[in-house]
Amino acid sequence: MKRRVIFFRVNYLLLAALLLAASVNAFADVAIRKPDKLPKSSSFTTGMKVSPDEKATEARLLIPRDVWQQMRAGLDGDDTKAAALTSFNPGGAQTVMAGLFLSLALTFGGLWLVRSRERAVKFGPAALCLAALMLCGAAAHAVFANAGPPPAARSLTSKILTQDLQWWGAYGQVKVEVTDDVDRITLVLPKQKQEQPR
Amino acid sequence: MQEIAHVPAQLRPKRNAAFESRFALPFFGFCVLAALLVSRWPLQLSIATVFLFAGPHNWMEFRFFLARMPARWGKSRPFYAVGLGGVAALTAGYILLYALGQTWYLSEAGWTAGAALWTTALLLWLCALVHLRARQLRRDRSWVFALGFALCAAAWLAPAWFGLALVYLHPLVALWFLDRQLKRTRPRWRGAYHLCLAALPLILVLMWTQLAHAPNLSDESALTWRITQHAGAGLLNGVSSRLLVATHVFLETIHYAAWLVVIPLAGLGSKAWRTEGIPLAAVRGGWPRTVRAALVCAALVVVALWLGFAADYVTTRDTYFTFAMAHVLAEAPFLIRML
Repeated sequence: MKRRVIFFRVNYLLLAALLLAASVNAFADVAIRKPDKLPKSSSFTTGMKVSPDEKATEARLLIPRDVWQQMRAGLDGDDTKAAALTSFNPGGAQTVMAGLFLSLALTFGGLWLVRSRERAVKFGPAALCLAALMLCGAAAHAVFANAGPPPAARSLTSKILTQDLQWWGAYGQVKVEVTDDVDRITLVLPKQKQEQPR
Repeated sequence: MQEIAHVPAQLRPKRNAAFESRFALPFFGFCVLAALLVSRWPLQLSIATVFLFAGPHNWMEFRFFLARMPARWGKSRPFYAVGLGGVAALTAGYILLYALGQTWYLSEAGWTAGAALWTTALLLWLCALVHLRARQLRRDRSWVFALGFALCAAAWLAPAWFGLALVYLHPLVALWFLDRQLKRTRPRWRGAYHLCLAALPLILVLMWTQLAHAPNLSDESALTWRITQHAGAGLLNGVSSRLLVATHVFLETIHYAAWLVVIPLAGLGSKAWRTEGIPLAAVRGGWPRTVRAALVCAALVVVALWLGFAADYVTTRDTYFTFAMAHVLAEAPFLIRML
């Protein structure tokens, strides 16, 4: 009888652990609020060049005019259909429905876990280990997700062309120009003199 | 006398092995050959296999389901009512969605929302079927609702991906049916069959290694565009469309082979046309004429499909794949019933 009580406690612990693990993921996955009007998207392949420039004072993205025209044509053409097929979110309905069904899944999963006590007795320790692993994974996920990128990754300069930023990537302000002066998309990055190799 | 009595017992394992190899070797050989041919000519074989085998395999499935349908539902009435009602309602919903998608009445976002709704209905219907069957068997399978709702969430987050998953998973359902059929009628073949199943992922991986860097198929014509889109080229932009079409055609070919050759061999033999083994026809007070008429009508539909393909392949293909959703859905209740 005492053993049975212990296992019931393990059951509830398991349920609580699973709910906690799932809630971390659920909060992490909350979609960023999108603007009311969805930007259209289109894709095609073209050449690109990253060019460090000592004379540049700000990052500039130079887009050849013909590429720009191609991008506009893509947005106005059939490619928008593929974009619409992969996602839609009028008023956040997609996220709301997904969240609703995820909540129902967790509720029914929890109810099933509580109801299947016999199975929990058999697989209690294994399930507990699994829940602990999930918690560790979720915690690690949260830790990594919340750590900020290094300072070099927060502005677009030639410093981003290092091995250290492979994991983080980089972001920052960029001036977009449509020009006839280049033959491919060019990202001009300000370069500091002390970075020159000896 | 003792020696004579021992003879059959000693011969049996050899005979079993012969049965297994007689089944396994041709099956495995067919899979390898299909993979080779499909990798070489994916588009041509896509057109040819659908033209030749789509209709007949539907006829065979219809015949199989007729044989599995009890004459009197009894305690299974809720299961069959929900199962067959769901097939009708979901097929109607799918056709309506497809028809609206062809008009200007439905925006693309609206169409995608409709697809997510349809997938949700499909998943909840499957959950209901599993639950009803579990109730009959007095088992607790309430976990299916947790899984079903989780899949619903995924379907709302990525509706188009879910449809694509259905395209690739449906051919594999035939292999599941085959396994259940072998368990009933040819249990000795199952071991060899499971080995063949284990080899399928290897064949697929070999195919993918060969085709990973293959150039995309030219989708300039309406037909090739449809075939590549059906295989998911619109969604999987980074993957060679040749690989996608080849994978889909390979799985479809196995699916057709299972329904047209292996399942009849394992279960029906030469009795496909005979209605004596069909409970709906054989039971006292049954409907033998109706069953025969249904089989003949289905055969006429197959012939009409062939004529349609010959006259206008693209339109007939579109129409076929829309209405063929009925047979995809009909597989669910019968498979769940066999588990």
